[in-house]
Amino acid sequence: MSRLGAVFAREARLAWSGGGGPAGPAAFFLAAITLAPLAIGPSPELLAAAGPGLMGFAALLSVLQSAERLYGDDFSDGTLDLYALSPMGLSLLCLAKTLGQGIATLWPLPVIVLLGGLMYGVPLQPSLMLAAALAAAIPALVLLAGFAGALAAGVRRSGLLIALIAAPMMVPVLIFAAGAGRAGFEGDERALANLVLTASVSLGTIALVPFGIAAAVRSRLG
Amino acid sequence: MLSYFSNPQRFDGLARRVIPVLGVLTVLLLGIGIYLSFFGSPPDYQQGDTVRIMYVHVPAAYMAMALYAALAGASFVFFVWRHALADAAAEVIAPIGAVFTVLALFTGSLWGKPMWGTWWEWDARMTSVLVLLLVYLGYMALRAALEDAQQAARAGAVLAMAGVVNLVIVKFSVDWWSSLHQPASVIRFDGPTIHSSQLWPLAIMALAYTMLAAWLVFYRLRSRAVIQRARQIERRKLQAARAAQSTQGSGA
Amino acid sequence: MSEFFAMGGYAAFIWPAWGLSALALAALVVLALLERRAATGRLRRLENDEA
Repeated sequence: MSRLGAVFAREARLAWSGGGGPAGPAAFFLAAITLAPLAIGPSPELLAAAGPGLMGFAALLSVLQSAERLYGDDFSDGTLDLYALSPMGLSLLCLAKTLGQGIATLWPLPVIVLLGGLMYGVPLQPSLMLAAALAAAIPALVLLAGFAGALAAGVRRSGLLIALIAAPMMVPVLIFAAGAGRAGFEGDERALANLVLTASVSLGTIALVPFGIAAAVRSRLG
Repeated sequence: MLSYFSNPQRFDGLARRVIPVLGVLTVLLLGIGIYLSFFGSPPDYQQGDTVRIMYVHVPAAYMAMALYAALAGASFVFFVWRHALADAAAEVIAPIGAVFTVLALFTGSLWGKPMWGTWWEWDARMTSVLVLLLVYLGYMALRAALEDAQQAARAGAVLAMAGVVNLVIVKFSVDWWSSLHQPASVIRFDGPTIHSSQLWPLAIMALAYTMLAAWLVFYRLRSRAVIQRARQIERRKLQAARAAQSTQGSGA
Repeated sequence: MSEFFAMGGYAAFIWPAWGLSALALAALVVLALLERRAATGRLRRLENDEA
């Protein structure tokens, strides 16, 4: 366990310091939610109603945008070959690695959602709901991005391919996480149900997707 | 049975006999199906003649899903038993399934406009089929991007199997998503009950589509065997040319 | 006859739906046939070269 902790810490440290760390996804997310109103128009009612869904969607895009880094470098420099030989079990290693890297780079997103809520005129309660749902969604999003990333590791322009593979897999998380914010805004009592569903999908992906990532890694190493 | 047909010669022998049968069945069933669709069935008492779109829409939607099941099944067989034929089948099935998915979407849209007054409605079923199309496209893009044939086969199998789990959860979540917002329109997507005079053209067209898809899969699998033989010869020639070059080099 | 093609006023939806289906499925068949022709042609040329 402590060795897995070490992998988690190492990946988190590397991701934090290398390649811009959390600044990349955060800046992308900020840019996306800044540009969206310029496309939709400044109507306050429209922006407040679209805000939660828009921010959920923009968060998904920021995860996709940074997904190439998850497995691409480790594939080309041989780290994955070493991981595959490790006695710890490749799936557990992949879980620790992906979560470590993901949490280190994506933690600003829920915080920025609160800021975005102010900009879009979304009341505090649904904004908090969306931020909580997004925080719960990040493990699922990053693991699914990792699965696609492992499949497409080392491919030319893999970012595009990863987005195409991961997008349909992220549909449920997007629905539940954005739904929490949306239902909160509309005063629908199902906001909490959406939050709980987001968390359950996240737990489900934590239980299942590491095996998929391990299989994906093996399929690319053989 | 699986290992029996993993022998390429034996599969070729089977395919050679099956392909003409499937071809004849397809033509025959399509003929009957088209006749029944236009002449052998009355207009629906509610939908009028638009019900005739159903006879190409529902079979296409059914093939879109059935072919994904076949793709995932073939991938599973390849993943567990490493039968090269199963992988070839998966590779061949994917674009056919994608075409049927596109057809399901387009014909559904052409049916929706006169019936419900809209080309597209974000209802659970249509949205799920759209996601299915993305899954097909992702699978094909991954295989196309991986240059090593072994890696493409294995990675494709992993992705196709994950897609099954994914599609089940997508179906559930999209149902939930569309129930969150009660639609303003009074559209009922479960559709009217099917009368027996409509069941016959529908069933025959569905069968014809199945035979056509099977014909396409078997036919393309045989072509792949030919392509592979050609590749082998090319490789052999290349090696012979290299060997000749190196002996020349050492001689000089 | 023209009544048949009018399809009770829904001709603009029914014929495109059937036409698109026919076109797409025919394209799949034609592509499969062309693929076979190209493959056998290539194999024959290679085998002739070898002989």
